[in-house]
Amino acid sequence: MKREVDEIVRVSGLRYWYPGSEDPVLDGVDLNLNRGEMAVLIGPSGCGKSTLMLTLNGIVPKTVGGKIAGEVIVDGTDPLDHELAEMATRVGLVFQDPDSQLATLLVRDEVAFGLQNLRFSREEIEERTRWALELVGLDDLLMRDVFSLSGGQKQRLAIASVLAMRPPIMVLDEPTANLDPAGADEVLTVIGDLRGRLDLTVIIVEHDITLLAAQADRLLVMDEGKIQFSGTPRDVLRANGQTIRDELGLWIPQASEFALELEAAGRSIRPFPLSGNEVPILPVATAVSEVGAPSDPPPASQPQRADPAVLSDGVGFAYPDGTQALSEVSVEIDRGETVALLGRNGSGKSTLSYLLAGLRTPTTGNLEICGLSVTKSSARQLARHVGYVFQYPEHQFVAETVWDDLAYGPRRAGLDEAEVEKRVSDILAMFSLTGYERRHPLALSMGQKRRLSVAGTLITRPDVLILDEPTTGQDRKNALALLGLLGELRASLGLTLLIITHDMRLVARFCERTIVLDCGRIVFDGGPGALFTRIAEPGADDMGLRVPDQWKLARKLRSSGAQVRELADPEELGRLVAGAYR
Amino acid sequence: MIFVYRPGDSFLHRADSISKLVWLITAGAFVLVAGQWQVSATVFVAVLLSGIFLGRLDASELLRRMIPLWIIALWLFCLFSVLYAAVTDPVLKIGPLSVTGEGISYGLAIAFRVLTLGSSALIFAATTDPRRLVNELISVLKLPYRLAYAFYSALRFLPLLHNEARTILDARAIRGQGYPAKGVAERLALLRGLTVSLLAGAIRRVQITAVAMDSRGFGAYPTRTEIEDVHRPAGGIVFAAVWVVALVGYVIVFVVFGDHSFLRTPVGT
Repeated sequence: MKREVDEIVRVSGLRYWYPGSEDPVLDGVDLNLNRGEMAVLIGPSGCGKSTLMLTLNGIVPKTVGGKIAGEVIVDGTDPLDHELAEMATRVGLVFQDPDSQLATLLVRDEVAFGLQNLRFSREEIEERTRWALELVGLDDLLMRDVFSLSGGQKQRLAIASVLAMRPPIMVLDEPTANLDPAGADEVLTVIGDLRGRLDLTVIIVEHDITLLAAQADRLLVMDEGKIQFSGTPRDVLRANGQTIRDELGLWIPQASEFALELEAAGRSIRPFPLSGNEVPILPVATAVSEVGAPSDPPPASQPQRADPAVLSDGVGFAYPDGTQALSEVSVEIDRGETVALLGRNGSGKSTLSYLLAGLRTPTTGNLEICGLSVTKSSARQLARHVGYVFQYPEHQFVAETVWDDLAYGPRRAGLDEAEVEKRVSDILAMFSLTGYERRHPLALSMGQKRRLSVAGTLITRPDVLILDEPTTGQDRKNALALLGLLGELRASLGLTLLIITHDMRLVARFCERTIVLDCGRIVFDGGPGALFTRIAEPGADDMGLRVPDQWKLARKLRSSGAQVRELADPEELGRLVAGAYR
Repeated sequence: MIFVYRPGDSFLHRADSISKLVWLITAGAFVLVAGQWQVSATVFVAVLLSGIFLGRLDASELLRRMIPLWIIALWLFCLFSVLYAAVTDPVLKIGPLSVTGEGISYGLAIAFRVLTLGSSALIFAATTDPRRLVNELISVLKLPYRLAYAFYSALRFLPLLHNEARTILDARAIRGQGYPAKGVAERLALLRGLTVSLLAGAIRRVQITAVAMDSRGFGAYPTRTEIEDVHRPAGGIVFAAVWVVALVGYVIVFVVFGDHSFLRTPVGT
């Protein structure tokens, strides 16, 4: 009886077809959630996660159209039997893109927006607006312009704007995907705090469970239109972690990856760890050293300077309105190096990368790319040496078929048609795009678009490739496939890679050097291990970065005498430790 | 972007949006009915002075933001000066083209029309808080709020689309697609690509915004609670009234006293 009272979401046998589609995107979803629970829903791109969430308040199918079958009961009501306005007070929705979901220009108006639509009295609107803003810590920004807020603040505002309607259920669709670590922490702290203060049921859709595993009561794993696994994060990851990681291609916590390797060797860590802090110090010192751990790459602080790919001397850049975006940036990057460009949003990373690509000109100092002065060379000359892969691949497609988009660069470079054809065919095969030649680039899947944007940049064989957040929004399978490919090209072509990222797993796994910017100045230049050591020191400025669990695990093992690589990935650590137990 | 709100506390900032809309429409009507360039020029100067003194807009910035308008006005002046079918002797002959005094007058009238229409819209946008405009359109003019919010949402998207367009141009430039573009074919290709990319991005954003608004009960009822009172200072109403009286006076004087020059067809015959 109690169970029925507590149940707030019941979905059974739910099937849904988008208008004009013969295949259901939801194909028999069964799901029960209790009041006050926090559930995280993960699954590969296109598996139906967001669609499922939109059925909870009736937007699917009422606004979107299409055909639905099965049962959805939310807070005791069927969304199909109630107006959207009524469902708005039962289910609050927060989306990934902070800019697109806000409807007004002022913080107060945004929170009041839903209440005004539902015709609450002015007094109640004022009272609820202040209450909701206080809950998310934005009460001192009541009359601020929404465009002046940071990404994290905008997401907190979006949360406040649905909280004001006091729904018992809040659904957040990838709420941290567009944020830097500081912004993501802001949002996750607010969510955790809200759960403590309100009896709120929270459902978060994510690509990656890592940051939420410790907070969540329930992990739901979706694939092919169904919930495949459901349970506590520990139970689901312990029982199905390998499948989730290897078959569904999703990110799981690195501590869990480590523990899964041990479990495969018959050793268990109890409780099953969800973060590096939960892994105990293991007595494996001697045994691991016998296995023979590979050594870490040499420190990258003193590379060879014979023929640098990038030579920057006292470079500064100010925008026309006088904002100083970069100051006194002096750095040398060798050919073939893989460098991570790190820092908080607004630290100057993008500005520096734009200068390197010749898209902006330094206002002070000297900047050379492969021996060409950025000031004296045209963007077209520089484009022969520098490729730039933007965060959103859609931005850089220049033709209406995949083939023409790839052929664009070589044709502009004046190559004969036979050579163009050869290059396009080769790169199509290399990037697994063969068969898609006649497709419009915008009609490709997200992973294919990302591969096409990299292929279209690399086909002209630049010396330096800049990648802006290459793993953002990508599941593990796609991200690792791309990194593997880039690794091969780096080795075969001697490509210099500059990667702008917040993804510390990527940095630890792939980069040999890190450059951290803060307020337009370089504040750190060295290897990833040295960077993690520095920001992990108690009381140190974290520079807006997050130490990856794999480094914490390696340090813990090294502290017990194990000779493991400082930047070994969790599977490798797990295998080494498991080997030591045998 | 030239049509941007600049927060302030001037007479025009305090005036209500509806009075300023009346002023905007009146100034436009004035130059559309005025046949003589001197009248259009006077209205244009009056509009500029209103912006500078009553709106406390920086004169040099205002003139700078009008650069696209100056260019269009100059182009139209040249075009209409030449195209005007005059009966008087030309004052200037360049090859097969001849320019008459009447043509120059007509060209000036057209140029000042464009300058007046553009500058008054610019001053209106610079001194009118979009939130207040929407509120007053709903409360005073009884415009359906769904329609008013469609306009409001469009305003929200402008800076986002502006930034996105910049990024797209940068992304294409690095692939070698001209920025600045060279030649007509390259410009057209760039424009087409930019439009498709912007449109794809805009559709994605609009879909998210629409779902986010629907999920907060937007459009559920025919009316909604407005949280701000409408203030219509007398000064703003008087300001609009003065312009309306001036326009009506001008029309009466010239209609009653027989000068029908304002009824002239666009290219004089």
